Amino acid sequence: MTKQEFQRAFQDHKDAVYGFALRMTSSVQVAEDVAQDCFVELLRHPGHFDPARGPVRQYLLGMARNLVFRYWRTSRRLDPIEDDARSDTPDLIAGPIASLVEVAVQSLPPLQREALLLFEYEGFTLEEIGRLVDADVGTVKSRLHRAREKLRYLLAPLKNGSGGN
Amino acid sequence: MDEHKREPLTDDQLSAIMKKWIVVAPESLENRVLDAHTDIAASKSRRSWWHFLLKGYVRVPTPVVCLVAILMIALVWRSTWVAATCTAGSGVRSAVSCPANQKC
Repeated sequence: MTKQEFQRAFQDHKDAVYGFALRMTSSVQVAEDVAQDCFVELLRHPGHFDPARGPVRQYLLGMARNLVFRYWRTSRRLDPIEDDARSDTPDLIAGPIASLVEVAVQSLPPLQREALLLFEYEGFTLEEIGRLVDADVGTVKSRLHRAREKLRYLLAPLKNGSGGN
Repeated sequence: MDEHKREPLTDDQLSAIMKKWIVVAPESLENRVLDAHTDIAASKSRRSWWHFLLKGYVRVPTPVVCLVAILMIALVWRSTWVAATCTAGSGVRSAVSCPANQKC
């Protein structure tokens, strides 16, 4: 991979990779580390990316997902990984809409959260998400449905733009 | 928030609200990655065959290592056994213990 090719890949996908990591972890530091590791890995081992298995964005997001889960494991944050391990409902107080969305998304269990993020922000299909998270389409559909169902109620106060943004 | 007293959002409304959470990668990320790119490119250009001979290493599968070890043990054992048999002065030249091309 030449420097030009890498820079193009970086410019095209940096926001997606960083955004995914930030929305998953809600930590700027972790998101930066994850995004850096993804791109450095692409640099070091460009042969690991197989275009036949999907576009480079999918490859990078898959790597980011693995790094995020590894971060949770190593930082002993094992509890929130299960599908329904977290059921706390945050109180959304008036504030910028983005912050309220962040709070609501963070209240989801990670497996539901990742399905929702990949669907809403990356526009991935259920099949693509299934391949990326190593789950069948039915499972992804169920996670996505539960995530959206929860957020529909949680973010209902923002329907008329009352979030202050 | 009294969430269940409100009418839930539709799919389109939910998507529209979620899209308002915009995230942009910071400049520092670009600097970090490009620095890493420069370091990796520089280290690759420094590599050469003698660098590999001095500092390189190879990964060998365990079965291969075991096989080579067994072969080496067998060879050492055979050569010492042949030598011991031949120097014993038994006078019996066995095809097994003293192969035809072996000088006892």
